[in-house]
Order: sequence, then C-alpha cells, then structure tokens
Amino acid sequence: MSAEQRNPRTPSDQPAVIPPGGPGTPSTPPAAAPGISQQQPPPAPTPQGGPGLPVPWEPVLTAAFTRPHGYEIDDYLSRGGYEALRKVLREMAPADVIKVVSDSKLVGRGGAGFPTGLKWGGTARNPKPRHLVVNADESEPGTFGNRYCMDADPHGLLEGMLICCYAVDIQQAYIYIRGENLRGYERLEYAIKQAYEKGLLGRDIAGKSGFNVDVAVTRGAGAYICGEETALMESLEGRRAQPRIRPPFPVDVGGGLFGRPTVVNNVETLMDVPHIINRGAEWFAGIGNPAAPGPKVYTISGHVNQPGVYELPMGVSLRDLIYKYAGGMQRDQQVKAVSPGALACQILPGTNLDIPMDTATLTRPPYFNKLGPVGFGAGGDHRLRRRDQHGGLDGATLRLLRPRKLWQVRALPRGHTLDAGHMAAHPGRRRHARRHRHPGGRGGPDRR
Amino acid sequence: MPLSQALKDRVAREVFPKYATKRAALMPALWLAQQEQGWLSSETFDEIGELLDLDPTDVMAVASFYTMFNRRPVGQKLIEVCENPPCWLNRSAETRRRICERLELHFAEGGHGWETTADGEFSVRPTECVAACDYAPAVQVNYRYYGPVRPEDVEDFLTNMERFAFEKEGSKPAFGTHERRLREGRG
Repeated sequence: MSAEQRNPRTPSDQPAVIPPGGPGTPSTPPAAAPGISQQQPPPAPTPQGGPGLPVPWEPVLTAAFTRPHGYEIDDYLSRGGYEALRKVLREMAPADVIKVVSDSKLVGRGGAGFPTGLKWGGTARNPKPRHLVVNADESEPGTFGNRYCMDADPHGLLEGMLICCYAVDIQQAYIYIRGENLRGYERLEYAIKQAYEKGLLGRDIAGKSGFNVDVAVTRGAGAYICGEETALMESLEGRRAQPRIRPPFPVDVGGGLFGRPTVVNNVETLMDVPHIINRGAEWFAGIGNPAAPGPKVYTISGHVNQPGVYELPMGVSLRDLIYKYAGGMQRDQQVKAVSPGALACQILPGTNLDIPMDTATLTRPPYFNKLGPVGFGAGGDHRLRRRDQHGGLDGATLRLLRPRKLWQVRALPRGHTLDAGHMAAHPGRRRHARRHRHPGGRGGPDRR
Repeated sequence: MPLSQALKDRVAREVFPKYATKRAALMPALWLAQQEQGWLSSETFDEIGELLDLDPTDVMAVASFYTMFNRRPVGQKLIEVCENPPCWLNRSAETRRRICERLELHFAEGGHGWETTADGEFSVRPTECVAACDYAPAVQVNYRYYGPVRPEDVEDFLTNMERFAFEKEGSKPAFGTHERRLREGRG
C-alpha cells in the first residue's frame, strides 16, 4: 500500500500532527503488510504549519507517540526528560514555579477549565500535609487522549507531578487510574519503579535534599462518576464514589483527600507543565486562543474517516477538526450533531461548525445554558449521523442519552454544585433514564 | 476458599504504607482478592473486613458500587463490548448480539450482568466507554483491548482473537485506527 493511499491529502494540507496511527508506529503483529517495514524510521513531525496552525507548529505532548520505547526512562532522558524538574530544583523557588504556571494561563484540561496556577497557589496557602491527586479516570465516552499519553509517555506525567509537588510542597501524590485501563496501570507502575531506581522519586529527589515525594497508583473499578474530583477522592479513600458537597473545596482543609488540602489535576494538565518550564510561559500563552492557550490533545471519533488523537492549538475550529484532520465524514455524510465534550455537555447541531473548540468558548454563553455547563470533557468529540433504522437523529440522540450507569450518578445530593463531568447535569437525561429503566439495569451489579 | 496469607502480608506490607487511613487500602485489597479468587464471595468480604478493621457489610457496600468487582464467578475470558455512543454508532450492539448468538448466550439489551457459556470459557457483557473510541467498536477481553470488531468480524474474532488485539505484551501501543484498517484492507 503506497503512502499516497494511506494519506490521500496533498502535502499542503498535511497537518502538523501525529496521525493517530503514527506513520512510524511499528506495526503490531500480525499487521506487517508489504510496504510498511518494521525498520521504517519514524518520520519527524511535519514542521510546517497546517491550516490554522502557527508556523512552525510542533506537537509536544504527543511527540513520544512515534517512539517505540517512549515509555522507558532512558528514552525519556535521551529526549531531554526531567530537565524541567532539574531546572526547577536548581534555580526556582516554589512560588516562582506557580507564577510561571499562572503566567502561562494554563487551564485544567479535564473540562471545567479552572486556572491551574490559581489552584496550585490556593493549595500552597493552606496548611500541610497536602496531596496531589492525578485524575486519570478518563471515562467520558469519546475521550481517549489521556490513555495514549500515559501509555506512550508516563514519565512526562511523572515529571509534571514532581514539579507540582515541588511548587505546592507535597510529599505524597496519587494517580487514580480507571480500572479498565489495565495497560496504563502497568505502564505507570513500571515508570514509577524506574523513577525510584534513578533517584527521581523517593527521598532527596535529583540530589535536592529535603525534596521527598512518593507516588502511588490506585486503580478504579468501573465507575463513570469517578471522573468527578470529589467522587474520585471518595473512591481513593475506600468508599462508594459519591460526590461530596462543596464547599469545602478540595484545595481547602476538610475538602481534599483525607481531609487535607489537595490539588486534583488532569493528566494532560500536568503533562503540559514540563514544557511550560522548558520553553517559557510566553511560548505556551502564545499558542491558540489567548483566553485558554496551549497545545491540546483532541480526540475525535464517531462517523469520521480517521478517528484518533490530534494535537492542535487550543481553539481549532470544529470544521478544521473534522474535515482537515479527521479526514471528513464517512461516506461524505453531512454532520448532524456534535458532542463537543462528550456526554456531559450539550449536543451541538451540525449547522455551525465554525465554533472554536476551547474551554473559554464552550463554558460561556451561548454554549452555556441553565441546564448545566457545556463542559469540554477531555476534548472528546464524536459525531452523530442520521440513522434511519433508529428513526433518525432523534432516535440516535435519545439512545445517546440513555445512561446505563445512572444508578451510580443518581446518588448526587440535590442542589449540588455540578461539575462539567456530571452526567446528572442534564435534567432531560435523568428524566429519560427514569422512563427507560432496563429490567435488571437499575440496581447495578447487585441486581443483575 | 480463604484468602492466602501471602495476600494478607502483601496488603500489610505494600498497600497500607501508601495511604493515610487503613480504609483507603480497600480498593487495592479488593483488586488483589479478585485477582487471586476470580470473584468476590461473602467470605472474602468477611476476611477483607477483618484485615482492614471494617464491617463486612461496609466492604460489600463499596464493592457493589463498582462494576468491575465480580460478585459471582465469571468465565475464563470476560468479553466486554463497549456500547457507548462512539462505538454504538459503529454498530457495537450488533457486534455483541452476534457474539451472544455465536456462543449461544441470551442477548439482553442494556443491563450490567454477564452471561457465561456452559463450559465456563466465555462471559459476555456490555460495558461503558473503555476509552478506545478510535477502535470502535471496541471490545475488552479480560481488560485487554481488541478492536475494531465490526459485526461482520465476529466469527473471525472468536476464532482468532489475537488478530484484533491492538496492545500486546512487550510491544508499544498502536495508535489510531485508520492506519491499521487500511493496512489490513478492512477500512
């Protein structure tokens, strides 16, 4: 199969992103087809800017995707890994780190879009001990970027975590990963073991006396709601994952893990941090939408020709995402509806594809309505197409709204501050669930 | 079957020091118990409760919240078909229906439960998004990823599962789908 067939776009349309297959991805057995040899060197990411991209555009978060052993610590060190950590330990005070992160205008990549610098600063003001919890419970349908990032570059996450621990003075960090992602769990455990061996975790990290951090990975066990930060902490504490009433917020005493002030960050948020330290806050703030800047790992799935992971500047338009990067709709169908931030968000009609896909746009009017925030999920998108056998879009939409895990979500207290990650943010969805209860579907595993 | 002493030692040695409270060791302890026994029985809850100073009903209440803790025996290969929108749009419900048909299992739409074949080899159930939407319809077998398993691929999938695996021991993950689909002439 020729390269033209695999990538039918003209060179000028060539996006400067890692295509989901990664041209250099060594084919997994038994996929070695003629023309794709195992020895084929991974081509460097295309340097020129694609449509709507700054020139030159260079993916950073997904750069490891083309490296067969990107998850090994030696590979990570060979491409400048842990340099940001060493720089921070050598020449920056914790407050400076928080200032750089604030200046970069990094906002949380999990969906709510809360400024990360503010969160770190708020936690650092509260008494010790403090904790860092990494939310790796990526469970919104349509989101899978974190899984690939952790698989390909677990040390990128660990480095981001260590910088956060230094900035906020944290000694114990947790990664809560969803139980279904067994591979990611193994990769993280392996990476942590390697980091301990190299003296990059544990006591006196990287030769800095008094800087001690331990990282533990906790596996979830199948609960959609654990993507919500307070539910996640309940689960980490060994309880049913029922969201807590806020305030107190996690950054405050009494609101966090074990009642201690806690930073809860998404995987991708922390993976941005080493790049911000290495390249400077201005570099980061200059990418994409100035209100919510930075590179973003977009995931796109559904009826598109090339579903996958695309790293693009925050604020790329929906049209570009579908037609320029994801290869257009299957069989050239018209876009009927888009779920921009997975299921917790409102579904957008396919009529306006020019909206920028970023947190700053999607969490404000007109995309924010009183039913609940139109969150951004973890950048997940999927497209619905008319399906006649299900009575058209309405059928598809209803099906989309049919939650089978609502028995886990329904335990929410009424009037609770709803997060973008809450499925219960959508009253229509709840109503629908009550009407279409499945036989045996309500009580969860107890009543099957 | 009681839990092994090795498991109890491991919980005490490796799990307790990680957390500020004993209770927080509950999720890891349940995972270890399930790995050892395959499923969680009432006796297991009693033992874990004793280990963590918790009431057995408390242990059971937590375990029953999470869908991955099996409260009855499960087949050798637990086949889970994602039926969330990205997979469903790619006809995953039909995939599961055909798998059930082929294995002579009852097919029920929705629900959480699984059906096990008479020989105890396979169990099949629907699942929520497994974060593999680019491989839709995505299937997990014992929490390893397989896909895309389209309805017409089911026969092939059940006879030659490894052909559909997209992450294997000792190999790097394969990213995306279109590359692979084209390579295999399936897209």
